This record gives sequence, structure tokens and C-alpha cells, in this order.
Amino acid sequence: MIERGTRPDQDEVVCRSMTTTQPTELLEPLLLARRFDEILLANTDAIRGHFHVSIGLEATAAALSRVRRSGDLITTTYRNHAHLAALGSDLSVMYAEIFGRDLGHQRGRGGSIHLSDPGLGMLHTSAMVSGGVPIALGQAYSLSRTRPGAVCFCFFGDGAFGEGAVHESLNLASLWRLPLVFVCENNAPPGDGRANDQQSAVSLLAIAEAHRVHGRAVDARHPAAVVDALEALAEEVRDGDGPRFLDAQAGRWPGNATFFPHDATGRTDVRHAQRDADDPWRSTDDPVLNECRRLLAAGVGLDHIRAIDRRITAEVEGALGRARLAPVAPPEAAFTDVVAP
Amino acid sequence: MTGPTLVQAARDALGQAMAADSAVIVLGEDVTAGGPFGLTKGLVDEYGRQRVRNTPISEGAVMGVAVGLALGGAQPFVDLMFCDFVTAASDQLFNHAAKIHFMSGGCYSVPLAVWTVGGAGTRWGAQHSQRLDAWIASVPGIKVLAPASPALAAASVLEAIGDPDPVVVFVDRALLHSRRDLLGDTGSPWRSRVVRGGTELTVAATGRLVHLALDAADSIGASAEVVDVQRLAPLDPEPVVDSVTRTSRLLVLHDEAGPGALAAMIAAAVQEAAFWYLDAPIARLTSPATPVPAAATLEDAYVLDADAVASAMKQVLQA
Repeated sequence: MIERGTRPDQDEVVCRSMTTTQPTELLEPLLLARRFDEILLANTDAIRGHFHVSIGLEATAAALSRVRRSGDLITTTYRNHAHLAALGSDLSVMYAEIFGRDLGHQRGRGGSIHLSDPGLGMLHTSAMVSGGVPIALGQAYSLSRTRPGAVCFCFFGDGAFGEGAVHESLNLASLWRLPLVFVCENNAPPGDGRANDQQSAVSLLAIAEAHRVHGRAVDARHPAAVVDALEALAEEVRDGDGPRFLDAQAGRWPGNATFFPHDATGRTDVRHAQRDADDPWRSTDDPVLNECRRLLAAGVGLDHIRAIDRRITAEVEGALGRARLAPVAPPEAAFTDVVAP
Repeated sequence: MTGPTLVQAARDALGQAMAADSAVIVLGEDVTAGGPFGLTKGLVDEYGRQRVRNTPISEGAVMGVAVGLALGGAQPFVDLMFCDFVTAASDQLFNHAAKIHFMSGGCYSVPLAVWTVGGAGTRWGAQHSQRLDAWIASVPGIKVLAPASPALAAASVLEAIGDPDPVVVFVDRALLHSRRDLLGDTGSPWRSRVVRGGTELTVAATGRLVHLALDAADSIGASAEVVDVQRLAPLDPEPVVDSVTRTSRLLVLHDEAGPGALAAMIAAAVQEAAFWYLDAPIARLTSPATPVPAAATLEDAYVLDADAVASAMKQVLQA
């Protein structure tokens, strides 16, 4: 356990131990992420400033929890909650940061859009679109010098392709064969002959391939498929083949359609995995329900899924309660740590 | 004046730092060939291409790579070639390097050294001649040093590399090949320093203007005390204030485009701390508030020269 506010040695960046042989091993990180954001949306009275939620993008986060190894590094974005929650970050510390409490990893200086957790190998979270991408290159470069076989996972959204830094970084990572997995969490629907309504390219993967960064596109509405793709790409990177690119094409959660996210679909009810629904979110897009459907088809009982859900929901509720009681960030802390002592 | 030039001294210091610490990695365009001014000359032969790394022309990504390296435990040194290019690197420098220590609750530092060259007078035009040191210095979390002599350039490089925070070493292009030593060259780059004693007037200057101030004081026979304000962020005006309590008059020189933020900050610090010592209004002399032109006749009209400095000194003495 790494103490909050301290810089861990790279050897201390470890994975939360999860049962690796259970068929429900993906369901737990998915539900941790989903319940974290749903319960947050029910407690927005405690939030000042802007925030984003990860609902609908949990598959990549859950896959990361299966694929990452101790010593790997990760950069995420302003839409980061699922990455931390799925990897086992302390949920009360996450809520505390979002609520402006001193208990947060950033002592309240970051908030929702800057959540990071050094103990998970997330050293800094940029809220500039594409901001974390070049930083991931530098982290991968440092890993290549000090920790052969380790990789940096670099998460960003499809919108980051509007920024030059992503194109510069694909070129540079390829030139230097850096141990890096670019993971594009793509939640923009394909446009008319384009990758999406922001991109002239037909395929985001094709942009990466133009820089000789090879990779895959995957339907990120299905978490198990993302695990397979991410695992394969990470292995190639660990073998020294240079960077890889994953176009993780997720569905679009309706609650992100507004400037502030809103609870557009209600609390997820895992029983919907067994029912017909007439909306695209519940019937095809929700990665949590899709994973439940996969488990049901594999013979896992609904009662078992519901029991896991109840346990995780209780864990998240408990974390929320602790964060709400945590002391606010003291005003004098606004003026310290501008430079190193 | 038989010692090394400023850029040679800086190069030797960089080599010394690389020899002392294998975490030091140099990034920049054409650094294996020595860079445009010879700052990295020969380093690749000693330290290899993993530590002296040529980059694509991608200042934004390269500055981000440096931030990531610093977070990962390395000590990056970025040759940013011209300070004008900080505009392309500014997201990573201003939004990331400068803020990560604070935003991480003091958990992570960004030990990043940036070397950049600026200033007019060599006919390079508006996009290769600016002084953007005031802009860089205005962002909390970044330290800025502007050495005026070979010895202090070397010291600045070593301090920038040894410092836990982002440090930009800002050098006047006009001084790169100067061998001129200054009084107090064995001192710290982190303090402003008196490079000429005097009783009638204080001249606060940075970079090449320190040299012009010395020459102008000699040419008009003024008893001017010249203070080299070489730490621009956090600004170190105290030695200027001290000097003004003795001389009672102040001229501030800076090569930034007018009206000049750093010159104004020095003037403000002096009026706050030494107003009752002043016998005349504080005078400021900066470049005009225009882009830097390329043609010789135009640029010569733009650039502050020794005559302009001497004339300003006379005016303050007579005020």
C-alpha cells in the first residue's frame, strides 16, 4: 500500500490482485467503474466545477485491468474515472479528489478531470485534449531504458486526433520504437465516409498505420473482445516490436450529450441482460450488460452476477460515505508546492 | 578574453553533467550534429544516440516527451533552438511541466532543463528574433535564467540540470560567441549581481544589455552601478533595490518588446521598496512594440544599441 501523496518507486507500482481464473473477472472492474460514476451522478451536490464520467467506455478500462502488469505506466484523460476504478484505485480517495478534499491524491488541486494514482503507474493526468500523449512517449522512453518488457498504455479519445500532438507522437513513437500502446477510446459514430464527424480519414487505425504503428480496431461494446485485442498488442510491444495502436470503438452513452453529464439511462440493472430492450443503449451498446450477456451464455447464473453487483455497489457506497466526511482542502495549501522544496 | 565562448562553456557544462549522471538525456533537432550553434557538439560521440537524441521537427511532442522522461526518473535537457519555438511547445511547458508538481500535491517534480536562444540583431526576421522570456517567466512553476557571460552560462546549465523543477535557460543570440567575462562570474546564477560599481545611477539589465550598459557607462564617464538581473523567474529584483538605495536613480533595460513586462516588474519592485530613496522617476528602455523586422536598416532601427543606452543613462542622470 503506497501512502497517498508520496511518490512510489517503480517497483511499488503493482496490480491489485483479482481472481484470475473466475469467469467474472471482467465483470468486477466493469461494475466498479459503472457504479462509481452512477453513484457520483447521484451526488453532484458535492461537486464544484466540471466533471466527466466514463459510462459506456468501461470496456477499455476493464481490459487494462487484465492486461497491465506491475511496473507498467498509464496516461489517461479528463475522462479517467473508469481507468482508476477498474484498476483498483481507492474509491474514497477518488471521490475525495472530485469533491475537493485533502484526502485526494492531488490534495484537491486536480479534481475530476485530473485524477491520477501514482500507485497504479498513473503519474499525471492531463485534461488538455491530447496532453497526455507525448508525455506517455517520454514515460515509455524511460521504461525502455530502465525496465525492459514494461509498457506505457496511453489512453485518449477520438477527439484527440484533431490535435497535432497525436500525429507528432505517432510519428515519433514509431521512429524510436517506443514500448507504448496507443488506446483510442473512440465513442464517435462513423460519419459519411469518414472515421467520425470530426475526421476526414475513413479509419483512425489507417492514420496510425501511415506512421507504421500497427494495431487493431475492436468493438469496445464487448469487453472480452477488448481484452483479447489489448492483450495481443501489449504482448507485441513487450517483445520489442515498437508501439501499437488500438481503435476501441465504443457505443455512445446518451448522458454525454449535454455540457455536464446527466443520468440519462438510470441505474444499470443487470437483469436487463436477460430482457429485450428497445433502446440501443440497453440492447446493444452498454458494455456492462454485454458482458453480463456473455456470462449468462457461458452458464453463469444471474443470481451470481447480482450478488457480485451488490457487493461492489456496497463497496462504492461506502467509499462515497468516507469521502463525504473527509476534511476539505485547507486554504493555505493553495500556496504550497508550486516548486519543489 | 581567451577563455571559451558562452556556447562553448555551456557545451562543456552539459558534457560535464552528462558524464556525472547517466539520467541526463539531450533532446533536440540536429543535436547529434551539434545543433545550430554548437551547444551539443561532439556529445553524441561520447554518450551515444540514446542520450543525444535527434528529434523530428515536433516541438510540442518533444517537450511532452521530456515531461514524460522527467516523470519517469530521467533528467531531460531540451535544446529548443529558438525561443520563438516555445509557442509550439507551450502546451507541454506551460500546462504540464509548470503545473505537475503543484497538481500532484507535491508528489511529482518535473526536473526538465530547456535551453533556448532569442533576441534580435542577426536579420532572422520576426519569427526567429523575439524575446519571449517575459512570457515564459509569467507562468508559475517555471524558473528562468538568462546568463550574460560564459561562466554563468555554464553555471546556469548545471543548475538547470540539477534543479527539481522546470528551468529555462534563455540566452541572447548576440552573446553566444562572446568570451567576455564579467565581475562576479564565480557567483550563483540564481542571484542578480553587481557587475560594475557606481554611485550616481543604477542600471538594471539582462543578457547582452548588461554589456551595452557597461560600455555606455564607460563611454559617457558615468558612475553607474550595473546590476545583471539574470534570474528572471522568480524575478530577483532585490540587488537592484539595494543598489538604488545607494544611487537614487534607476534605468531598467530589457530587450523584450515594449512596453516590457519584466522591466515594469523591476520598476514596480523598486518603487515599492525604495520609493523614498529615488531622486528621479524610474526610466525604462525596451524594444519597440513591433515584430522584429529582417532588413538591416529596419532591424538596426529596432534593436537597442549602445548609443540608445548611453542617451537613456544621460537623461536619467539629468532628470
